[in-house]
Amino acid sequence: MMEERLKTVLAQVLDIPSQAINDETAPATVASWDSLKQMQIMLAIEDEFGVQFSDEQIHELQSFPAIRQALSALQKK
Amino acid sequence: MIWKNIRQRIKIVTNAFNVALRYGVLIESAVTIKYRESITFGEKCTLQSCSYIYGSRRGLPVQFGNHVVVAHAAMILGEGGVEIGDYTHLGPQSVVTTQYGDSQSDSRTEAPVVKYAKVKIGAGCWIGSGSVVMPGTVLGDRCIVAPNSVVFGTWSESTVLSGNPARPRKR
Repeated sequence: MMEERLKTVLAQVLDIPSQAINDETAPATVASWDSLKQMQIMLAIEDEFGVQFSDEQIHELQSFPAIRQALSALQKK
Repeated sequence: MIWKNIRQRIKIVTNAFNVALRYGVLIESAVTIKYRESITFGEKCTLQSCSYIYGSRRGLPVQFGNHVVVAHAAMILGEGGVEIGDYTHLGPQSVVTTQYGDSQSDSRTEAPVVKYAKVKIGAGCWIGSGSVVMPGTVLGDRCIVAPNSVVFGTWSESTVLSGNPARPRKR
């Protein structure tokens, strides 16, 4: 459920279909995922899930699995 | 060089004069308006002194609603297209930009690839002084941005944003 919502947010910001998002999804594999999109993705996830990433995480979480893992860790807190 | 600068200055003054005549915009001194063809204003807008409005060379619309205030030394870089709603106030030295340099997407070139994204600011918004509205930002109506914030992303109406990156404070 959380994974589906996360995929929907990423799909909206990156303007790609949510079915195309998998564990390989990262800036290297998605042409539209640049530094600006990175900020937009992290803020959109914070807004959707009501969490807050640290300043380091905002820049470092650059793949779908990394984001998913950090998000579940934040939600357990 | 000096003649080129003088010609450019005359062009800018003529642009400002044409905007004032055509749209009834109050223009204070030292306002710079470039690529005027892409820019449209609503009624009774104000461009305070030293503000800098750069239209779109590609002809994407840079649209101001009615009663928009662009305060002293605010800058709008509209290459990617801008839409600003009625009664919105851009504070002193705030920046609305639609362009950014991406130096990582193409390792074959030394120069950063310049990318563009439209900015849309709703009606009745208040952008605090010194804030930067980044490319691709969408602000709903009546949003407030605290001074010196850096705004990314899409925000619904009446959101109060602050910080870098700007996050919502209350709804």
